[in-house]
Amino acid sequence: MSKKKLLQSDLHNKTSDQPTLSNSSLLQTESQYHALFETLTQGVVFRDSTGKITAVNKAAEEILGVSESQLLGQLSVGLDRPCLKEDGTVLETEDHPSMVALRTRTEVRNMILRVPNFKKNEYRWITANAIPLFDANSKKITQVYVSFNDITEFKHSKELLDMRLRLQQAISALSQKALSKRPLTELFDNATEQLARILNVEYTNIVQMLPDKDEVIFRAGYGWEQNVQIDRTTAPMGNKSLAGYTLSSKRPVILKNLLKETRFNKPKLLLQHHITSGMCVILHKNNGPYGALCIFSRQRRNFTTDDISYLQSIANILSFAIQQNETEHELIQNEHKFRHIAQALPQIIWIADAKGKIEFFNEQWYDYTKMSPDDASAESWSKAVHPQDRHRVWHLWNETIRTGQPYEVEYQLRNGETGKYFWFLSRAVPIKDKTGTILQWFGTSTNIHEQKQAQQALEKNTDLTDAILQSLPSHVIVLDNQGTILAVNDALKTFAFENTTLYPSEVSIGNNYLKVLSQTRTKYGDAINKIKYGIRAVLTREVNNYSLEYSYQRGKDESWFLLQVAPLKHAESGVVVSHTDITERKKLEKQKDEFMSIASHELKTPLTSIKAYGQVLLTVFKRKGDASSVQLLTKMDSQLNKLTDLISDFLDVSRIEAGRLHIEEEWFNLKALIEEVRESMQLTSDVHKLVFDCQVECNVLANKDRLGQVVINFLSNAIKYSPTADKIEITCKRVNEEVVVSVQDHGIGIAPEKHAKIFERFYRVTDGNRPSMPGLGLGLYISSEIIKLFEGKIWVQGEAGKGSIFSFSLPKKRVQYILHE
Amino acid sequence: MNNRKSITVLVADDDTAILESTKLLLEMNDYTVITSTGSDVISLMKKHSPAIVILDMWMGQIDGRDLCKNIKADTTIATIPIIIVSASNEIEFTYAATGASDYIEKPFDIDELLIKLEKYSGQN
Repeated sequence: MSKKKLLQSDLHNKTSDQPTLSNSSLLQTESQYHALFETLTQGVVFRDSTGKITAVNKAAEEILGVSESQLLGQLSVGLDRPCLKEDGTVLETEDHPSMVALRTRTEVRNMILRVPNFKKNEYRWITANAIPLFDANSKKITQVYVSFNDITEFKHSKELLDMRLRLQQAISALSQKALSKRPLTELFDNATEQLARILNVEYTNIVQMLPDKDEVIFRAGYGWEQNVQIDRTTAPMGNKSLAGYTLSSKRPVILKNLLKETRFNKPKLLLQHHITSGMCVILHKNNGPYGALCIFSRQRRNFTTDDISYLQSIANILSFAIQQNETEHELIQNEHKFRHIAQALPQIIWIADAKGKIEFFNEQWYDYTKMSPDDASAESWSKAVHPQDRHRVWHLWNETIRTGQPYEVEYQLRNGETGKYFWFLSRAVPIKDKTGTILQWFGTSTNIHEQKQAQQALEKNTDLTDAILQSLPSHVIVLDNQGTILAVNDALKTFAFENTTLYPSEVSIGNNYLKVLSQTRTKYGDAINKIKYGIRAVLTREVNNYSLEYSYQRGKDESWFLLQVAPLKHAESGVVVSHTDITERKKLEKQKDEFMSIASHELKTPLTSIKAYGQVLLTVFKRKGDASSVQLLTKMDSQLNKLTDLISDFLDVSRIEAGRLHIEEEWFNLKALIEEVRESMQLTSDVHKLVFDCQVECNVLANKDRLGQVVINFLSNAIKYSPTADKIEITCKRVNEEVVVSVQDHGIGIAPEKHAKIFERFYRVTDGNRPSMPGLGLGLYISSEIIKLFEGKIWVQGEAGKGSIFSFSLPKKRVQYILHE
Repeated sequence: MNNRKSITVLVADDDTAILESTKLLLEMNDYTVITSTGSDVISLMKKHSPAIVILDMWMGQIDGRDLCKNIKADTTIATIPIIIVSASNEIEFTYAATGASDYIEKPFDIDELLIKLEKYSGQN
């Protein structure tokens, strides 16, 4: 019977009680039904009233793996194979859904069963419905309509999920046991039992490597015969057992069939137990393998990836537990070792638990405090602490335990022998586990009595320094390297109290002195700027120290101060600034200056008349023609000139010191001045020829007499200190933008180390062998002061025995060069 | 040289030795010399109308600079040139303010003084 025909008749039957349709529309409906039938994803089978298969659609052919022709006329879709119930048992033919529908004349819904697929040689899970179709008139069953869905994939997934869920539950149960630090043996027993149950195997075991011997030993096992004993039965390492092979190959091993195994020798124990399949994974301790975890089955098994990963998970949990156990063991061992070491240390060593209770003191504690181990336990240690310190120490210790912060405290501890207290420094640090939880406190107490005493002595010393600072009459301010005020002394405070203009109240510790100075609004701005400059220069180590005399008007009187800035000893650690009142000294200097003026005036008065009388006599002898007397009187006159110069020098020095050297400046021709001086100085020496080499002609801004005085000084020195030479050279040249005047002699010269000194007051050049030359040693000092006034430089070159070159320069702004065309 | 006899020079100084020696020197160089120790300078100037006055800046109680200003304030004698004499080298900067024509530092050279006398007494 063709499918089409069957379908038609079926449709006729099915729709016989429906309103009659026209022929053409009926045909159309038929073809639609046919298309639907063939394209349904459900399998559909039609059976006749006896249960024989009369039609099968494409989807049914797919699910069953047979063609329609093989099935037609058959009673079972399984042909010669049985269909299975959900629980795996055989489904008898009379229990097939179609048969049930025929027998009961009712629909069968959602029966789950397994049917063979011949093509794939496997069973498929299906859910089947069977509907009996009745003849409208006779009410007899004409056909049975069976439809079914392939739910194999779904069924597999569900099984997998259930399996995984069971595995997960088993893993998590074991994990919790491992975390709760149960004894390893208990955990091992649990694991082996659970594995056997979950993976449905007969035997499981855990073996540990024996490092000294070449074997592994049973630590746990499940399902084994009596002859297998925990902690006694061993298995060989290497390729003589599954565990041995696994450990030596360092990766999990799956045993599919022991009889066909070639990787390792067949161990007796496995053969005795008729083992066919198995798996073995490695257990790890902290540094290396611990042993192996194995499962064995008498059946031939294809272990799934889920089985493998489950076994590995269990192995991981056990490894964790093994490591945990080992660490604890080591900790205990270490603590034993530690206590042993602690006894040998000179310090007091102690250990407290996480709650702060002392667990251990080394011998040194008992030696020092003379407490007995019973006394010192727990909290009684604080009895040895000085009553003054006890509360503070106890409070801090409790705070430390509460916060977990490191502990450091100094206190006095009673020496049990003498009853005296000594200073100790106690420190403690927490010891934490991997998770950061504090397990213990490790503490030391060190005798710091000597350091403490030294510190107290230092504090006394600081007091002394402070006392010195405070007793100084100068106004002293100590600054750090940024200019922040570190200390000021009483003298300054008192002075500041009396006079707020120079030292405003902001001159106090913590403020920045340079800023305070910048904000000071006084009419002595220039002095303030110089003070700031000086402090900065020393702070930046531009200069080693700085001093400045400055004045300011204090009421009606002029006050004078000496500023001194000196670095603190250690580099970059700041400066000491002192302002010393030098008003009195300045007054005295002024008096001295006045006295010098009067004295020089008084000295010059008789000198004037002596000189005049001499000149009277000179005129008289000249007129008489008395040549020898004229010569003597001329000499006397030149000596009087020298005396006059000496008195003038004195007066100059006095004025320089008082800062009152009177200078008026004008532009004049330098060449003309030098030439004039040269001519007059040439008259004073018959021995030397004074040569002037003028390389540049210019006007300079200076004081003609004072600059002339410098050239005279250079030339008179040159004459004086080169008694045997015959030539002195004066040069005037341009160096860069400056004009430089030099006087070179060929005399005794000056050793380079003395070059800086010769411009000091009263310094005189000697060569060590000769008696020193006459003179007060003021000339070069005055010269250098004069050149300073004109912002120039003065220097000397040469060596002892090779003559000297004295030079001065005037800066660019004081020089106008005369260009000749 | 001869016409110098008609040139009267008034020398004022509180130091008599200076007065005497200067007088001698100037007379040897043919000047007519009148001397004063300070107090009578103005009256002597009015009486003798000297061609030039050599005036010490610091004559005990008398300040030569003040005296100089007084002379310049008196029209009858204001035109007489004054050379101020001082032991201080600062005279260089201060003489002009007194109205003096020139200055000379003590101790002076007679040649230097003679040059200045010639310059201010209308010779040449």
